Amino acid sequence: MKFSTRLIFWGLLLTSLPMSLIGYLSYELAQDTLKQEATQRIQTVQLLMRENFERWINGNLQVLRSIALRPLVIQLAQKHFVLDRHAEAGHLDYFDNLTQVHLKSAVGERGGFKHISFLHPDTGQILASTQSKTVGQFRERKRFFTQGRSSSFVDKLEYNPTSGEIYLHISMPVIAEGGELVGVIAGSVDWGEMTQILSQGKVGNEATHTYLLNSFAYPVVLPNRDKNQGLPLRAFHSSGIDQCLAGFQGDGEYLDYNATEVVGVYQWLAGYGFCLITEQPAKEVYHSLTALTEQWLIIFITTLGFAIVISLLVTRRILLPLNKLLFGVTQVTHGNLLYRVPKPSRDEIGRVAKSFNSMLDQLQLLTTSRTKLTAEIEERKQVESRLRDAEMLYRSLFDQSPDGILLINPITFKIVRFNTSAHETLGWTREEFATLYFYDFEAEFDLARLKDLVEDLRIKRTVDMNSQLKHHDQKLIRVKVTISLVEVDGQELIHAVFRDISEILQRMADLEQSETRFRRAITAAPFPVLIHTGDGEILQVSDSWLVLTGYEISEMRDVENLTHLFIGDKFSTFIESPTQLLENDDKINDGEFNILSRNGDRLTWDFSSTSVGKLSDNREVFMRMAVDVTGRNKNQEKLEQSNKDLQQFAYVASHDLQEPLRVITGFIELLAKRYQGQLDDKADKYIDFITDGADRMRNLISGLLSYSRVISRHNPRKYFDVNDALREVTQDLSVLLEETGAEVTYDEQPHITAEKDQIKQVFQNLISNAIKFNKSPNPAVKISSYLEQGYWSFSVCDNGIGIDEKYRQRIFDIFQRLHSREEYDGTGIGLSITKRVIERHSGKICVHDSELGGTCFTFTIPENAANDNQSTEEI
Amino acid sequence: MNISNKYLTVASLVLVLIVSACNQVSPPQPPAEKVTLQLKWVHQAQFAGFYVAKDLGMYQQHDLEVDLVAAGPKIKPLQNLVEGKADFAITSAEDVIKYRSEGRPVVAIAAIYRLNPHIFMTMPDSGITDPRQFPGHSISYSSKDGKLQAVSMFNNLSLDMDTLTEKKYDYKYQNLINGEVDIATGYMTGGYLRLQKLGFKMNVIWPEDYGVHVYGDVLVTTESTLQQKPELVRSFLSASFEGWRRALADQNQGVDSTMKFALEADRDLQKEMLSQSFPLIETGEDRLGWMNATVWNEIVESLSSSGAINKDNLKGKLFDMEMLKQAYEPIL
Repeated sequence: MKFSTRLIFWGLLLTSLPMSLIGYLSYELAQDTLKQEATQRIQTVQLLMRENFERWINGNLQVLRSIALRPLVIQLAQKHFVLDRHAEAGHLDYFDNLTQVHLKSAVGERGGFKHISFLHPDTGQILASTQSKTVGQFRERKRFFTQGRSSSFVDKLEYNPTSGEIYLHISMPVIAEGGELVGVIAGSVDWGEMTQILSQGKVGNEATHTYLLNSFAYPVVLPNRDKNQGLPLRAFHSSGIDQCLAGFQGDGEYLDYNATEVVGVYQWLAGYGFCLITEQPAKEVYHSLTALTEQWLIIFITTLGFAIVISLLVTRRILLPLNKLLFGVTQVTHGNLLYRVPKPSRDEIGRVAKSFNSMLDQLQLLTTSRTKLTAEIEERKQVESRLRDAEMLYRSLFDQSPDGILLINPITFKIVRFNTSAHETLGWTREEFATLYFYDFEAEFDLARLKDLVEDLRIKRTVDMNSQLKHHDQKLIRVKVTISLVEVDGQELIHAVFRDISEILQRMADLEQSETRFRRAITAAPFPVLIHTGDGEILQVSDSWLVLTGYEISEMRDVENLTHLFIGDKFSTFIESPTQLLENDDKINDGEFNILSRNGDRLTWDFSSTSVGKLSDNREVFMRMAVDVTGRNKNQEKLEQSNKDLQQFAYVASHDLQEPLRVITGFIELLAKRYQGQLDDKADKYIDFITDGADRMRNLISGLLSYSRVISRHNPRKYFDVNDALREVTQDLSVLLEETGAEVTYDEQPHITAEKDQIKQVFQNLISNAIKFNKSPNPAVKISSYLEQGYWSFSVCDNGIGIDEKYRQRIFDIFQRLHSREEYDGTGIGLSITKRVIERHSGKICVHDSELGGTCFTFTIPENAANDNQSTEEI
Repeated sequence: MNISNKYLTVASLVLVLIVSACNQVSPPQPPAEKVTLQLKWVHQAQFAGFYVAKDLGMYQQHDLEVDLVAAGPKIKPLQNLVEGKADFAITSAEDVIKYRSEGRPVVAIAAIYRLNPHIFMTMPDSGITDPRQFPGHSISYSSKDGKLQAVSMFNNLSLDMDTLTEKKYDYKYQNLINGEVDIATGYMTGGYLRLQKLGFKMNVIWPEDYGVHVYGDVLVTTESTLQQKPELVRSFLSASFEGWRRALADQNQGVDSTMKFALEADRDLQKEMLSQSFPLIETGEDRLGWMNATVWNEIVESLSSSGAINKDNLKGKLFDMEMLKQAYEPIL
């Protein structure tokens, strides 16, 4: 903790502790005094209340006495009493006068009573009463009667919890002259007046609250309440009430029946049977304490503030020079010996500061000479360190060099120093090698030559040469050596660095041989090959190129020149195609080029090119190879022409044949219509034969026409849903399906790209065949599909009669039938058309056994079909 | 003795101290004594003080386990008491005198209802507000005791009982309401409240006002219990009146405890009943339960003169205040 903080802390503590103690004690004292004062005040109030109450009761007794002493009352009582001493009860109206004139004079506003009654002195029967309904009733056991017979009497409080009414009876004997008791007069005081009496309880300005409770703690007088509310029908509780009901008299501070903190005084009035309690809220009693507390707080805070200011001033007075000194010490600690504490004061701290300053003067003198010495030592250390680093570097280079390094005495040729690589390359251990001389392993050692070399070195400084060294196992190692002269510790030494190059030399020889073989292979290749650089330099041409074209290699200076020898239509393409190779880094097909040979023949070469790497000068090298396709192209052209002709013929034939057939059919129909039945039976049969023959011919021709149209007419391929196609096909075949009762099923089919109409025809042919060649009572056709290696495979399977293994190739041939016409109707063209359509879509079709017991036709269609297949067709 | 042994000894000493301290905290409790109180009627606020004493553990504090047994039309509380089925019983003062005159040793030890709740009721518009107006009218009695009080009252007023025509008692007072009967007896804390609930502000003639002083419910035990188990009687009285005092001072508590037993689960009715009972129990004279010889003698006289008992057969004490005085002693 900082000194200043500590000083302030102690300042505050020493101020606040006694302050708090004094504050607390005076608060306690004040509280006690206030409480005592309040208690005394309340006691005074209560005393006053009790006096008032008793004065009120006595007043009432006085009223009652005045009635009892009235001569007329005594006379009336005496007279009737004498008359009726033994009279029958029930003649009570004798007393009407008594009630009306005398008793009523003290009831209500005229007196302090609620009711007054006149009782028979012996039986206690009510003879007259201001409360007429009680007349005739007996009160012989009531204390106000039994006691009231002998003297004036105040009864205990009576409380009816059902009605909340309170009765306090007082009574008085009526005595005739001569001392004879002639009656008892008893009255119930008007308790409401009691409330007023208690409400007036005030001493000075302090409001107190006085109330009465009966022995069951039920309130019997409760001032300060709304008059309409009446008394609460419940017992009250507080420690004051409990004490009071237990018969004690006293005072205290406690929570009243409303749980309010009060100072209260209580006493049990046994004679009247109630508890008198006077209370004042503690808040009011201690009201002045708040002001006291506030004053004390202000003084407390002011004193605290004052204490802080004093503490701060003292701290400042002490700390300022101390801080200056501390700053000086910090400066010196950080090496600033020039610092001096400014303006030292004349007190103790000032003297310390002065001593500190002179101590610094001394110290500065000492330090200056020491600083120079230190700088020199430091410089030397740095030089030594640099030397050590250089030595380390040199040693590391020497030891770890892959080249062998030797230091040789130029006179004795003793090996003075060597590195690891040197003795390991030559197969010696380090210890053995240290004993060797240079000539022990120099294969061509020649002392005279070496001496010359040393002389040369004095002029040239460095000599490179190839040489041979002897390995430990006597094998010769070819090395490249760099020799120079160095001076070590004043002695001249030969510095030789050598590297084993026998492996490099061997590799070079191998490479040369490989190169030769490669060149020979190219030259002897049976097809045209050209190797050239990216910038057009021809590196090699195969002999076959020269033979086929008839040109000499010398005539082809570069690629540009070479291409001029070709017919130049695709000139630029050929030149540029290698650049694609640089992008794709693969083999490319350049396509066909027309070549003009020296003797004028036109050749067609199909070129492909590939990149074969780079030359040492970083130029790309390309190899161009060609296949001579001159002959093949010519054959193909011929074949295509022939196919076209045939197709044309088939189309024309079938189309043109329909016309005469229509004539034949037409007239046969006419003939049949007109002469059927008029000629003999044979003639009718012949007409049938002709009609039948003509029908079949029409079917054949229309089949043939469809077949040729597969090629000749084609629509663009579209992407379509095979499910739709199948739905349409089964719709078209609905009559057949209905007649045969056949069922065609297929699961979810894909979308494909094809000519929809042709694919529909394929399905129609296969489904109708499946139903046609079927003897089952419930013909079933099932179509399924799956994707495999880029092709959709569709299978149309049935439970029909099946196809014998040996006929399975023939069924796709045109006009091929396996059954007689009587057995199964048909032209034998359907499957041919099917096959043709599938092949036009680059697919395949085959037939195999069906799981359903009949035949399955499976065909494939490419998943991503090229738009058209230009392959040549055979008819 | 090595160190660990020392620790062991100290630990055992501490343990012994703790155990003995625990023993001091809860000394072995004597088993609570079982006590049966035979009530005068079904469970209702008439017996609120006993419910409170049981509910708030006042009996338990006196080591009593009290069983409160309800009565009914065919149950005679004193019969159960003398047969030993109950240790204490609540019944009417007349009943005690009758049993005693038959030579059965029952003793009243406290009066609960020191003023009798028995009243005569007439319809508000009947004009009958005084017993001297009774002659020539019809009357129905809710009980034999009711009739006894009528006789006493008529004697005091020198009236002739023969002037009254007795009719059958109707628990629901329908015959009174529709005019078949002019006067009916009942309890200030029972029938009167039920009629009030129906909206009738009845005229009330209270025998108490006409010199008839009869205790209502009195607490009774047998002579042998009083002699052999004075401690039990004192404890029972002490706890019971603690309960009663609490029930009267805090009527909500009185009703709360009553509701745990009451047959008629009408809280308002029970509350009203307790409120009406208050001035009959706490009369302002003496302490709760207090009795005096004058009243007892008056009742005996009244019963004797009506011929209900033979006074000569009464021997020994009808009531005994000794235990009640002792029960109050700590306060006195």
